[in-house]
Amino acid sequence: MLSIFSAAEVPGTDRMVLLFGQLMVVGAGLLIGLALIYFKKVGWLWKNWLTSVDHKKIGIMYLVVAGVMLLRGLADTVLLRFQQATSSGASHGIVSSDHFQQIFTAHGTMMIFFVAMGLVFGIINLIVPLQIGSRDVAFPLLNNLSFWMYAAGAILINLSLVFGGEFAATGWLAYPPLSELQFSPGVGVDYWIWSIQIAGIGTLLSGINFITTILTKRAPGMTMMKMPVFVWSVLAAMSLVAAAFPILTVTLVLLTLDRTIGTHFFTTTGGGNAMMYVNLIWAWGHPEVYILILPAFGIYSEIVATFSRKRLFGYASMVYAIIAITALSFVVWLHHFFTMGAGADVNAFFGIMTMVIAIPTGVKVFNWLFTMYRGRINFASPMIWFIGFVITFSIGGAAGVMLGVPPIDFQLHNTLFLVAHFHTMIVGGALFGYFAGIVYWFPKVFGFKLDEKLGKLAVYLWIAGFICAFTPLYILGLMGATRRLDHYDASLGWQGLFIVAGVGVLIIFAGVGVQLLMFYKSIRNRKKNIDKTGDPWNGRTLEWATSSPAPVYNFAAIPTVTDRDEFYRVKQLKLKLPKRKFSAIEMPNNSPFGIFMAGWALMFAFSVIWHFPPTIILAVLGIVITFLVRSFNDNTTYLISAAEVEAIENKRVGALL
Amino acid sequence: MSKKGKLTPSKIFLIAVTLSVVFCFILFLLVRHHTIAVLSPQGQIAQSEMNLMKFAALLSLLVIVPVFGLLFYIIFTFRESKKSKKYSPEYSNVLLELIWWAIPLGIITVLSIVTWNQTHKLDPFRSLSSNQTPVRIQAVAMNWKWLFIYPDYGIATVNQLTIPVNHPIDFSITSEGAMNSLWIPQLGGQIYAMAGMNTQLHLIASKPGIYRGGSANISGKGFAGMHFDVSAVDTQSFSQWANSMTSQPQALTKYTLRQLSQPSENVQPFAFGTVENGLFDTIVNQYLPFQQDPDNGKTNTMNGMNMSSMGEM
Amino acid sequence: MTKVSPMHKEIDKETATSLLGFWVYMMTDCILFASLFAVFIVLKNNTAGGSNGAELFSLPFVLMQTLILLTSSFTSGLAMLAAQRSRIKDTFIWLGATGILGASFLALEINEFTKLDHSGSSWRTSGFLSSYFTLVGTHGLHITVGLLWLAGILFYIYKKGLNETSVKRLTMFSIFWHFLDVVWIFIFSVVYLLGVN
Repeated sequence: MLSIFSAAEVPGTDRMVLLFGQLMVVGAGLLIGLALIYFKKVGWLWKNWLTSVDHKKIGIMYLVVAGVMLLRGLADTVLLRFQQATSSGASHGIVSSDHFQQIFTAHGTMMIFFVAMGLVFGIINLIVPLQIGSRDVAFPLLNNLSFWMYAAGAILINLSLVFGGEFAATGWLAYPPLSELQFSPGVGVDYWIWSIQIAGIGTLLSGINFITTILTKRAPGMTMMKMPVFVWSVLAAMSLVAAAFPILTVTLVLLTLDRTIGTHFFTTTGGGNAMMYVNLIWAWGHPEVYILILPAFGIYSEIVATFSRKRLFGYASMVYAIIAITALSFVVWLHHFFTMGAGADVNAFFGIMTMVIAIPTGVKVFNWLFTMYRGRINFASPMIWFIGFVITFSIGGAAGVMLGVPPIDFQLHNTLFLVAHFHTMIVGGALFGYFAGIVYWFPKVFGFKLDEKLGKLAVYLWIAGFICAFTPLYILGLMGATRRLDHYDASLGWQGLFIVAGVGVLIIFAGVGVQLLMFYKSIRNRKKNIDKTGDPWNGRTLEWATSSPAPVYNFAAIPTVTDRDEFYRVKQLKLKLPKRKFSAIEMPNNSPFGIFMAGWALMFAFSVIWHFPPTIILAVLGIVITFLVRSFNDNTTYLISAAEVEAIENKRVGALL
Repeated sequence: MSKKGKLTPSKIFLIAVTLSVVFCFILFLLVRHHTIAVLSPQGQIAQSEMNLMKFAALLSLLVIVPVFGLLFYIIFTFRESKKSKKYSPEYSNVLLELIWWAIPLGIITVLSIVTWNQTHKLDPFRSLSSNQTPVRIQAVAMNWKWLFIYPDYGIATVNQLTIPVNHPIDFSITSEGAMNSLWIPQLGGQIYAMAGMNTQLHLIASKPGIYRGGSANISGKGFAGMHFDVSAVDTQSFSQWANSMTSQPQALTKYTLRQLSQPSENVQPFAFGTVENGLFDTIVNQYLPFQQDPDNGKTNTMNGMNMSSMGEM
Repeated sequence: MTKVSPMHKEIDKETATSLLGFWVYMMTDCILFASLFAVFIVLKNNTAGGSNGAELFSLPFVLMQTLILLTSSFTSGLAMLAAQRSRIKDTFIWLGATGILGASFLALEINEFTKLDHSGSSWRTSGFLSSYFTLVGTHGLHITVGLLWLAGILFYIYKKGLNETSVKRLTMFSIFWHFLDVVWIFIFSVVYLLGVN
């Protein structure tokens, strides 16, 4: 079938695919650069966005990069599905095995580090300071730096396509010995290492930033148990970041040393221990997936309460559940490699711990359902995302409980059943949550609502596409199909299912198309959908107490809080707001510090990858000098006068860019 | 936003159910003539693992069914347009919360006990009790094929296994390079093959047939081609097969082993008629952590790290 | 946001926030070192035919390093006290002493590393040596960064005096420097004491 793809090593189409990818990256970069120059927007972009330390602008920049990387990752997805749908029997698809392995490695790496993490940090940047009644995060300059480190990592992973045309072909976690020089002699693994190393440092700094913000910058009266559940989920996720990302940093450094200096941490010879890498990388890796999901859980809590017009059911339970999940996420990592042979006692312990984590997660689902119970549910698209989540996540979670039983895992590990499970968790669980959050908070950020009809259509396409794409994978896993196969025997009867999965991806793609159309149409019609009140959904928490978009200082006067859902309480009691007295507000200046530091980091990484010492030294010097220059700059804030504040407050109408 | 004549929740639900039924039917048509390996066990280990899977799935249903039921009931009963009289904006109920902390706790407790027991019973390192003599097979994952040495028969095969039905098969497994995973789903679960390590797998076939095996961990560009057929035959046929293999011209020595180690993909099955003694141990021991890096010149001989002893730690 | 002079016990909110953030960063640095310790413990016996700890480490030498580093911690504490009392000259003296002691520690360590490398025990020799050099070397790298930071702080105080920012940065440096001391105690115990037995 489909014999046009049947050349044995398909070198022709393989090179075409690579070339196409390279052209897209270079073309997109050139297009954006030239457009900025032509429309004379470079200065404006630099002054108003790139050097901004305002959490709201940084949040938007994160989401833009995450969106671009999502399209990039989905392009890889289509290639993967197409290859697996056609590479059966005599046909070997359109890409070589090595290239295929690079594609799925890039797919996983991009989706986790640059899409999911970008969505997480984008949303928490936009919303957390507003929800806790603060002016900004604790360290705005560090926040900007974190974004640029993330962006530098994204740039580096795209550069791998253009300079070298090679990426790691090891799977997204690059286990040694395969990722050692002996078996991966090219630059691919090095690109992988440095793009996530740089982004990872940015993430770690953000973790520190948000922990400090949530602990020190809450509005007066907002005790910990009066914080919105979303903020709790962010605090938990950031604690995981702080505890887990140093492990990733270390592990990547050790692999780098093996590959550049010739040390023996994970090599087969010289006393290396590859199993140690597996333990280290998953000691980071498991908390990482909870970092991805916990803020999404927080978003669901906000959305379900708002759209059911009810207080969140069981607030205390929700908080304890989050804390339990956070703590437990540190004692389950071995379930990612039950098959490595640790023995029955160890396997059983970690299996049981894995199942225990299902308990607080289940509690949360029931609490959300009972928030809806006896409420008045409005099915705006955020709620539909939530329903899609409950349906998919329950099934994927059950699959997870099964995988958590070691003897069952022995039959399902590294099969497509596993792939379906974790995609259900990340797409059905986390991604749906971030999409819901984007629609929910869009009016707050931009001052107008998104088109609801297209929004709903997008959800239905995503849910249908997801089920169509991943149900076949659960079945294929049971049929004995391992993951990462670039070719399989025709007699196995797997091809039909792969084709169905491919159709599912196309449906998802249609969903993405509708989302893009939704943005386009909403921007075109923005004047018709302006959010005049700052509170388009009849919200419950403090972010809705500002105008849409919020002014640069967020709150003219930091509110005093007496209850959870403070804003809702104020509305219900129809409290008369006292006549306000405005005072001057001190805000931090913009700064190019972050861009420079990330630029030096990018130079450093690129130089190490290509073994070019002069620019390594230059980059290190650059970092030191940039740091020194900044530390001698004592003029880092500016004042907004009381008159200016009053003028801004009196306008209170949504404005776009 | 008016929903009159447009897509009401009921209509959406109906469409979803219809599409789901059609979808399931299509999937059914696609798989009905093919083997679902994990659900078609041909040996005791795979059978036990499948039973465990069914048990866990059933327990999961205990949670999924109420969740789905509640979800749809609540959506339909409390949607805004229905204007239900029961609107309790401050609703809380501690008893309910206790129930759904307690019930999952109960389910997980049961599953935990079963997990502890079964994980020990189905430990890949654990020998199978049987009155039949076990057949020892030493498996080496190479780039990109499997070498199977039958130490008690003095033969070896590449990318093919023949085993006697109802005899325990005791695998000792290692790798020449990258991590692989030995997996024959219809006989039982997998275990990693790692350089310098000696992992074990104990399987048994209960019926004659041909079962598919492969590597379940990516080891480089040829890894998809590392599949092999396992022929389970009766005891007599197996002895005949083993005898006939001894007349194969190729001999597995340290030298031919090095040749075999050269990277190759999609290797057609073939056999070695004679096998040098102790080759498997040599392969495992070459990566000893106490042993000199070959580049430094010195050598040392010690027993390879045996994973089963690590499992008892 | 009133600025408070260093004489007062209270620190203003901005400084408190910075210090909390720095402590959180220190906790992450702790995890970083914990990972390196775990790696060392796993690879401790993987000598690949090369030398082991007993053959390579000289406890008297390490003791000397330890005393130097502990003393530098002491002098940095004295510098903090001087700074809180706005005694700029004393601050310079004690910070200078800290720097000299820190640099001596580093010089000794570089010397030992070079000796080992030249005698055939480099970090490319075995898993044990890879993990030894990386763990101890990472500590040394932190000391180096600390010394550069110290130089920067000295220069800042020279230019701008002992203002709120100087004291804040000095406090953070102190936390960092004491932390490195604690890590060294662990290295001394786990790597050298246990390694020699």
